[in-house]
Amino acid sequence: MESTQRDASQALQDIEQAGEKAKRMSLYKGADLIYMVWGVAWLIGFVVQHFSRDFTLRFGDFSMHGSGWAWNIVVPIAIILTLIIGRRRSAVQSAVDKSIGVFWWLLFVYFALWVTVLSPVIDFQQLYTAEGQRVLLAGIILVPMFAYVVMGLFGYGRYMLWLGLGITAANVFGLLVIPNWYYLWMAVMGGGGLFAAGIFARQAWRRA
Amino acid sequence: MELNETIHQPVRLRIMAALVALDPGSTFNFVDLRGLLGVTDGNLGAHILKLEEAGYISTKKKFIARKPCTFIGVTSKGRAAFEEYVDSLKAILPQK
Repeated sequence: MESTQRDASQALQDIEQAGEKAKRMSLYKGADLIYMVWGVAWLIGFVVQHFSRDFTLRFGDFSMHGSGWAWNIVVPIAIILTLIIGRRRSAVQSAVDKSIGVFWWLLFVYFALWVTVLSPVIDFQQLYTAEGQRVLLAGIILVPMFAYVVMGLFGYGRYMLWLGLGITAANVFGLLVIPNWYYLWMAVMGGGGLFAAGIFARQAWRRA
Repeated sequence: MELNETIHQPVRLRIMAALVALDPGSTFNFVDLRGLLGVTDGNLGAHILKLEEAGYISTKKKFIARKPCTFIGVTSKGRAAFEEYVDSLKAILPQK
């Protein structure tokens, strides 16, 4: 088949455009809703924690600061929704995605392992106080944000890098500079940031 | 210059370009590929069949939430043919 230079140039442009669209769809479709789910989960978790910061759980003689009760509900729901969305809405299925899923589980196992290993030297009484719970939550947040940074560096969209760094910075700032407003601050910056990332991802794949 | 006729058709070209752009071993959902290319079910199905017959792509059916879904991936033969095709296109253009 004879082909002119103009045809060839057009074909190469088509290839580039189709490839770009496919990559965008692969990166963002499904991820958009997952970010939104976690954005809402964080928003609810932090807002409830702010307004129930004087809440105390009592078990006989034992009492502990219990402002974080809402997390026990919103996190399992968000995890279940993430698994369902990931399975039903992703445009692309790849071995890399499965590896990322394993990476996330391993990351939390790693975190839990260190908590177990260090348990003899952790002052759990301190963790049951209002300040201890705040520090614990801020520490937990650093784990998924580190994962975002790693994923952003390794081809999962540069926006993940900035999202991870941005929420990490907001987290540290809130904890150290405005501890009394930490929960509301993180509801806006963390929950809002994740939800905004979802909107960005949605627009990115819809442009595809 | 002779170009690979199976690939050198606008829709098939874009199907191959979309699939080759993904990580090796990845598969594209039929419905999303249709949306990405802006073609009808029948049109996409016919071109997929042609590429599958050439051994350039493979399809796999899965049930997700009790609904059948077709996933399409490029084969190593298809990837090699596509790279060769792109090289042929580049060879047509004037060298810089």
